[in-house]
Parts: sequence; C-alpha cells; structure tokens
Amino acid sequence: MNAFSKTFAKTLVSSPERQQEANADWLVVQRVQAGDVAAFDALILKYRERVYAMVYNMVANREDAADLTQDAFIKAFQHINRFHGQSSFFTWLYKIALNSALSHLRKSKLRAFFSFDKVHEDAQVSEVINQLTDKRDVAREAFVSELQEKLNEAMLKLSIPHRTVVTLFEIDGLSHEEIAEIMNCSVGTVRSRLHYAKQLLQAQLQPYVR
Amino acid sequence: MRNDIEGSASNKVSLEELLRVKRAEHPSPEFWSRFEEDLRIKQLAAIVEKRPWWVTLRLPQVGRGLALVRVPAGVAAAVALGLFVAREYRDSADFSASFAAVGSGQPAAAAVTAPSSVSVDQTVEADSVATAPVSVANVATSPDLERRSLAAAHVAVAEHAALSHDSSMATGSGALLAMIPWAAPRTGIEVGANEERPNLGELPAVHFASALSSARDHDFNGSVEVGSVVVTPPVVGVSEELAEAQVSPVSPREVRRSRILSGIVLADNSDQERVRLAQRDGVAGSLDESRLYDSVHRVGMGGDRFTLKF
Repeated sequence: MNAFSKTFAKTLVSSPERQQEANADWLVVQRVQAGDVAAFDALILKYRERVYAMVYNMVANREDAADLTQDAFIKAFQHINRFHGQSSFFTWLYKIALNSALSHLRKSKLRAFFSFDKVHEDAQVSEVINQLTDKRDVAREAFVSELQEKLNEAMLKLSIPHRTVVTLFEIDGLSHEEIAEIMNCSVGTVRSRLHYAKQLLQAQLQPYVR
Repeated sequence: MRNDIEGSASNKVSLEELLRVKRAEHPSPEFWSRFEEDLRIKQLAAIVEKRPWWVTLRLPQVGRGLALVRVPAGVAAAVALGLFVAREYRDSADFSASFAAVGSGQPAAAAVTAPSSVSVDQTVEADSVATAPVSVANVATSPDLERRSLAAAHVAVAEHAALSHDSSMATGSGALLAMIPWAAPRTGIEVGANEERPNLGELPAVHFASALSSARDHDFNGSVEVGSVVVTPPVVGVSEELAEAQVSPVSPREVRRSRILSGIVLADNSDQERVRLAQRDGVAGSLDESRLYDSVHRVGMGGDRFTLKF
C-alpha cells in the first residue's frame, strides 16, 4: 500500500490523529477567546492551504479563491466567540469557507472567469501523467495544461452540491461523516451525491479515464 | 496529442487517479506571502466599526450649541412632522373655540349693532328685507351648516329685494325679527341652480366680524335697549308663526345669526364686490398677528443656546 493510499484510507474514518488535531485546535481557540488574538495566526498557517484548495476547486479562479479564503478567516476570527467546541475547528472553518464560496458562485453565475494554478507534479502525479502520455518536455507540459483544463471543465459542469462532494472527498480527502457535517446533510446523501458525480465525471473525461 | 490517448486503453487511468492531478494544483510560495499581506490589511479594515446608514445622514451642525448634538435626518423629520401636526391641531382647535366665543359673547353689542345696521338703509331695501321672508335651507347647528344657510339667505333676500316693493312692514324691531332665520317660515321660493352664490362659505367668523365693523360705520338712528332685543308683534304680512316666535326670548345664538344676516343685507347689489374686498381686508385685520407668526417664535437661537417651544 503506497503512501497515497495509506493517507487516503486514513481520512475515510474519524481517526485518532484527527481527534488529536481537533483537541489541539480547541486549546488554541480558547486562548484566542481569552484575548490572545495572536494565537489565531497559528490556525491560519495551519489551515490556509487546505481552505484555499477547497475554495479554488469550487470557483476555479485563483484570485477569487484567495479573496474568499481571506474573508473566511476574517469571519472566523470575528465570530470566534461563537465557537464552543461542538465540532472540530477545522469543520467549523470549512463551513464558513464553503458558504463564502457558494455565495460567490451564486452571485457570479453568469460571469465565470477561470484562472488555474499550476500543476506541481509530484511522484504520484507524474506517474499518472506518464500513464496518459509518453510525451516529454514542452509537449508534456502542453498535455498537462490541456488535461488540467479538461478536468476543470468537467468539474464546473457538475452542480454545486455534486461539485462540493467531489471536492471535499476526492481532492481534500475528508470522510463521509465530515462532509455530511460540513454540508449539513446525511451520510447517505453524501454517498449518493458522490456516486452520481463520479458517473458524470466519467462521461466527461472518457478519453482519459478507463 | 489526444490521439495518443484515445486509441489505447492502457493509456487511460482511473477517475481517482485523474483527480489526483487536480489535487496537485496549488500556488507558489510567493502567492502565500502576498496572501498574508492582504489578509493583514483586511483584518485591520474589519476592526473599523462601520456606522449605520441612518447615522451617516446627519444634519449639518448649526451653532456651537449643536456641536454635541447630532440628530439623524430621520429622527429630525419625525420630530418636525409631529410638531407640524400638533400645531395644525391646536390652530384648528383655537379657531373653533374663537368662532364659538365670538358668537356666544357680547350679546349687548349684538343688540346695539343689529338695529343700527338695519337703520342704515331704511328705504326699499330694508323694507324689502322686512317683507321678504327669508328662505333658509335649515337651521344651522354647526359652522358648516351656518355658512350654507347664510349663503342661501343672502341669495333669497337679494332676489326678493328686486321683486318685492311692499313697504307696509314697519322698520326697526320688525325688520330685525325678519332677519332671524329660525323665526322665518319657509316660503318655498327656490334659488335657481344658476344663481351666483356669494363666496361666504370660507370665512364665516370673518363675515361676522366685518358685519360688526361695517355696522359701526353707519349712523345709528334707532333707540335700542342694551342687554336685550325687544321684539314686537309684526304688522300686516307677517305669518302667525312669526307672531308666535316673536314673543319668545332671544338667545345669543339667534342674536348672532341676526347680526350676521344684517351684515349680509347691508351688502349693496351694485357694490357686492367692494364689500367682498372689504371683508377680505377685514380678514387680515381681524386675525391675531401673533398666531400668524407663532411658528417663527417657536424656534429661537441666542448665543450658545437653542430653544424649541412646544
């Protein structure tokens, strides 16, 4: 079982590591609520990339994703006194960020400007691309750009709930229970939406997917 | 490019593996340094408390006394509206009270002036009034009805002045009695729809006052008992109902009506316009000037003080 699969499997259930992470976050939140506002920076550094990635995959625009991520952290800071530990801080923060992204999508339905981040190939991604093409150098970069564009087009063709489920599960690696808590729906709804979204993506990405 | 992929199934990957490429999309480190700066700026902007929109619409500061008082435009408008409504209500209440007071007060003056107004024209006009039964629509019980009855009386009297030349009716108290609307029987004489009615409906109290003033301008030839009006049985031509009504004591209300009618009768047909203009001038003169400028005196400013009277 490679590292990716190990990580992927770990996130499907509420692991002790996740619980430990939640407890650590709660201590930091309590410090912020007590008046140590500088402690909130630690939470920003810890979760900014994950929150940004989720928002970016929802809106498909890096500039908008940056603004929305900043707004989410500011809202979380302003309403930090309303968090009482009923869920993990990460789940609570994700809810705020997701609502910001959904509001943005509702407002800018007619005008959608895409701008993508560059694909930083790691070992796993290179393996995938090598399976898809045997091109090298410039041709390979062009292929990756085209592949990236096709992926985003397929994601944007999904409805917002289906896109959300795919983003949180397939890209962010959250469990069904965590997704259900963030989206405020049942685990069964999450599973059914995920199944249907995958079917749609399969049809859209047929040239690349076996 | 795509031909390399589409043709072979071995060149294809699973959806999960493909979405891994999506996961590999992330920004450069320079992006995060700029992200932190923008976040700091937004955090500082969020600290500034935003004023509600209704606070931003504040009135300009007037005088040093108002330097510490900033009233939103909405509150100022509501207060101004309340003051205006209260003032209008009080003005209308004062007007009604003064109208009733003028009518009920000074019965002796009414008794003095009414005969004098009658004695001015002891000619065909007065006799015509004495002989012509005054046709009124009804006995006015409110200012509005009184105005209509006055207008009807004026028209009827003017018409009969031209038609009737019977001077058998004595002047003096008999003529005065004939001007009392409540005592005059209905004659069934209708005023045509096309008859021009005088504009008396708007200022009944003014007409009353102008009747007093015009009566004072004329000579007083008769002798009148101050304090009461002595009525005598009429001569030929007066109906039995009138005779019955004559023996009853005269109330201040009837005295007021008679005074008003006398003022109307005095209006010469040829000089109606002049009289109307005189009455209009009397309006401005009879009204209390302080009431006209009361609103100005409500608001005062002096030095560092601002006063507002309620």
